[in-house]
Amino acid sequence: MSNPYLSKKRLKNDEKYHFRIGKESFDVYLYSIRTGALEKRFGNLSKSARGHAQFVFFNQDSLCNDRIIVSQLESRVFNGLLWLREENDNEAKRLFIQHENAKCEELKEKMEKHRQNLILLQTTKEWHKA
Amino acid sequence: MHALKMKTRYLNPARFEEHPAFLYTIYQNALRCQPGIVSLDKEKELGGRFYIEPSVKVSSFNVDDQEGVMWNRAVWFYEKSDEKAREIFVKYEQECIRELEHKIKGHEDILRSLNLKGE
Repeated sequence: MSNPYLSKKRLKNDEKYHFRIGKESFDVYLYSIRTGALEKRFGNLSKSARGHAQFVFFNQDSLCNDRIIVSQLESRVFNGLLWLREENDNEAKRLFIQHENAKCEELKEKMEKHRQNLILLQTTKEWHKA
Repeated sequence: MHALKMKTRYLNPARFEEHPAFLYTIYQNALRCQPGIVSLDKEKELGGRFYIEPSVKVSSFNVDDQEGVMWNRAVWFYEKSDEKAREIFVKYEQECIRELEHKIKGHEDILRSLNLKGE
């Protein structure tokens, strides 16, 4: 069974409930996971190409002054990052947990398919009749 | 890139050498062996391409330019070698399972740490 969280149909329906970035840029909170802990950064978000958005840090203390590509949709994990318009650590954590769970399920399904293939290869000596 | 490779093949036939060979793939949960012709680049720049025959329409497959090396979930041999192909596919599936297990472990570690820090 395919994962409903990751299916395209579900994603399309989900978009109705997400805030999508427009032409204007605004300040957001960017969340990521580093060494198993939630990391929060404040910066400016603006529209980028290919249906994504770019995030620029406000904090210039960090060595990284690059632009990071994130999703155009709020609370959507992309590139291991998600952004929220308001500071909400618990919500970010919940979304990351949901995302990781979905990823795990997807990978387990893939692994099951490979296991079945392996069993077939090791047990049956039949060949596909073209 | 694929179109460019195909164009190169089409425009420079002298650059490629062709040999009769056998292609092995997994199709509908079973191993499949198809005879055909493998086209190899003499300049070793482009990979191999396998032209399956006989078929109603000409179908082709991207393959490695070396015999017995898996690429694009397919492997080819000059001679029919069923057991060698089976061994290669078994190794490939085992490698895939190992990689996926490693990935799942990574995701589970993140989940565990997130859950622990949330408590």
